[in-house]
Amino acid sequence: MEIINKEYGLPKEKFKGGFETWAWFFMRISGVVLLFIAVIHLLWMHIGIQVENITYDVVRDRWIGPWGPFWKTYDIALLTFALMHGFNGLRWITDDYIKKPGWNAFVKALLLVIFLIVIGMGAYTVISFNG
Amino acid sequence: MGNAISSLWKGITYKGGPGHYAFILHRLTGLGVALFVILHIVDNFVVMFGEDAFSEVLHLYSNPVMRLLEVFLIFSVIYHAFNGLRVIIMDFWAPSSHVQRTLWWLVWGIVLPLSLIAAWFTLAPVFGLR
Repeated sequence: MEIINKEYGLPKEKFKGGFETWAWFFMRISGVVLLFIAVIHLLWMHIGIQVENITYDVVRDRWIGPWGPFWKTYDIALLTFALMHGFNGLRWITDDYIKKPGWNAFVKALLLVIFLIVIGMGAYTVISFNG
Repeated sequence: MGNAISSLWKGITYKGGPGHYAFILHRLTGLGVALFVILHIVDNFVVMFGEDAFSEVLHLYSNPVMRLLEVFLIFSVIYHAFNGLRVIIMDFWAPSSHVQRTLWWLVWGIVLPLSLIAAWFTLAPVFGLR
């Protein structure tokens, strides 16, 4: 292990920042956050409650009940992190496979439009739902 | 279009071993989960149109094909989460590249049991087992 540590130290270059470096870093941070909040949401909904038991009342209890403010905050965090992580992933996939500049720009513009629509729809639902 | 297909083909046929399979599966599961999240926001939006409309949407998820897709969704999220953690460990802790195969099997050691438990809970009602 000593040889390994000598051979593979952490890179000595300074952290320079820039949009793509921050995007790379954000994917790690949001990934760890989502490892908790998305996986807990998933296991709770699919094993805890179970999908066949989800009804309108379950949603109302979740958002309007005594724990409403907690779940609304949780769901807004989940919505924001999941969409930013997901759409940045889709942007990277676009850059990897769609090389023609025109098509690349078109697909990324389309992704941005879809991102804005769904984050708006999601936030509107969570915030303004009142039973 | 030919360009996109050829770069995609290169990405699939590159013989990179476990790390390469991990990468392909990470992309596929990520894409699948992203598409589901978009669908999920739309289905949840229907809650704003009242109880009857929302019940109809929820009913769409109860058919056996959707239950099977649900198992794939659960697997995708869990795989993407724990393989992502493996990527982060390898990014920030260089010596871990020497145990990358062990990490890869460790990911499956977590993902497979969790997915099988979730698959049981999801599919058992479809077959009248629970």
